[in-house]
Amino acid sequence: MKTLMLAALTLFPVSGETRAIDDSQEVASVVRTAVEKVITVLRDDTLTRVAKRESSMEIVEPLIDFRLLGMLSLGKTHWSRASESQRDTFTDLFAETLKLSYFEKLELFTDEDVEFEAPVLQSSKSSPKYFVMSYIVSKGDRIKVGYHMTRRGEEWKVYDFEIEGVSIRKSYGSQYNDYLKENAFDDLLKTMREKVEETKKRDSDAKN
Amino acid sequence: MRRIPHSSLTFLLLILVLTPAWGACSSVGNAQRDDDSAMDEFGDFDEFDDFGDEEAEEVYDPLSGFNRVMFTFNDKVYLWVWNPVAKGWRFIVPQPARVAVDRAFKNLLTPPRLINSLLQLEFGKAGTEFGRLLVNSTLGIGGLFDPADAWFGWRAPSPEDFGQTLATYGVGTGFPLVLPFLGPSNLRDGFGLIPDGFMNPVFYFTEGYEGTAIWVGDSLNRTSLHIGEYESLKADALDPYTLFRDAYQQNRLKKIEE
Repeated sequence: MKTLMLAALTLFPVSGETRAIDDSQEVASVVRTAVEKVITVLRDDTLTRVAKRESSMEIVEPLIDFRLLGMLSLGKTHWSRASESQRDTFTDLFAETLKLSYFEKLELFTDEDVEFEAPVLQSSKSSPKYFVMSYIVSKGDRIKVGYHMTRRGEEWKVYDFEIEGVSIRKSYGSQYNDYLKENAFDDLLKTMREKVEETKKRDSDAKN
Repeated sequence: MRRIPHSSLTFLLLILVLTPAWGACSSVGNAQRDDDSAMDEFGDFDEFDDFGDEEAEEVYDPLSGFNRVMFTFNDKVYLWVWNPVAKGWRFIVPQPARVAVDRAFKNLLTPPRLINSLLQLEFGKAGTEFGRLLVNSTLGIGGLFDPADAWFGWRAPSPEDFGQTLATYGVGTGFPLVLPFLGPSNLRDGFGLIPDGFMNPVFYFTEGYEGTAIWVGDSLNRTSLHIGEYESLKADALDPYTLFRDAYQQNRLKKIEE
């Protein structure tokens, strides 16, 4: 009987529709779980500020495909012109920039509730893409935070997110592209590195 | 009123960008790779097809000279005057009270949102605004509390204004415009402030500078709820002016959609 069922399963692959529903549920749970874990960390008063940062980053970092997000921000023209080592450096700096910026903003939110909407299938061209809208309820406001998710291998990853309709990909992308109109790619890397150092310094000043 | 870049998280966080713009050929000195047709090892070019490579058009910004000056002006006003005063207010008044005051101001400014919802034929939204106004003005003690949401589940809809009304009827943005004290805007939305002003009850019940004083109070109180956000957003920018300009634009597109 078991073999028969197995055979049936192999012969009749799950229909596309069923798979979409499964995907949608999976995406919803990935996002919700991560956000809820972060909130728990942020609310834990026994943790120091640094510890909160570290734990929340551990939750969030594996969920973001920094290379893809960085690449999409930069755009085809600039990405294709960059050498492999420039791409790697860019990806590292981009990830660092986002993380620092995220940390800083994280501290602006402390006691919030978050509500989620069901994931919306955006396109399933080559890889399935979902958009999950959430609302951070903060000081009487509802802040819209949306996550763009796609499947990378076995896992669902964030490849863009937006706050109040403002997307990281578009915003950072436009900044980089404006900059690259006047400057060389290596200058961009240098400026990004300086910004990262500046933020780190400001951050450690704030701690002391 | 809700246009102050530093006064609402909405705006602050908005600080990112729309419409990247790059010419066909860009930077000098990049390492060259002849792989436009060849696939690279990660299949990255497939990704661009898959995820869409949004080659954005150049932002038409004929007033950029004026706008940059105005942006710097607003930045200084914020950092040197607005922010310190808002911090003082934050120090004196506990947060729940400031949140209540913010709710009361929002309640007071229902008419422009209501009328603009009607103008956009968004009757459901208009109904919610009207119901909220009635309930919160009475049971909510002049809007200090929000029983409409808490008891009836009438959640505040995404706010409408005349700029969005114009957009609904097909009016384009014109071009970016930075308004003194009010921050990033564009020709259409900047113009929209005038009809919105006439829909504002404060305009009819105050004299002389009272209206301005109320506006300043509202804005300062809201800023006090969002201390540090503007600075944090600005720190991310390679060019703060374009970041805020494009973020404003993206945020508005989202609001018009809603």
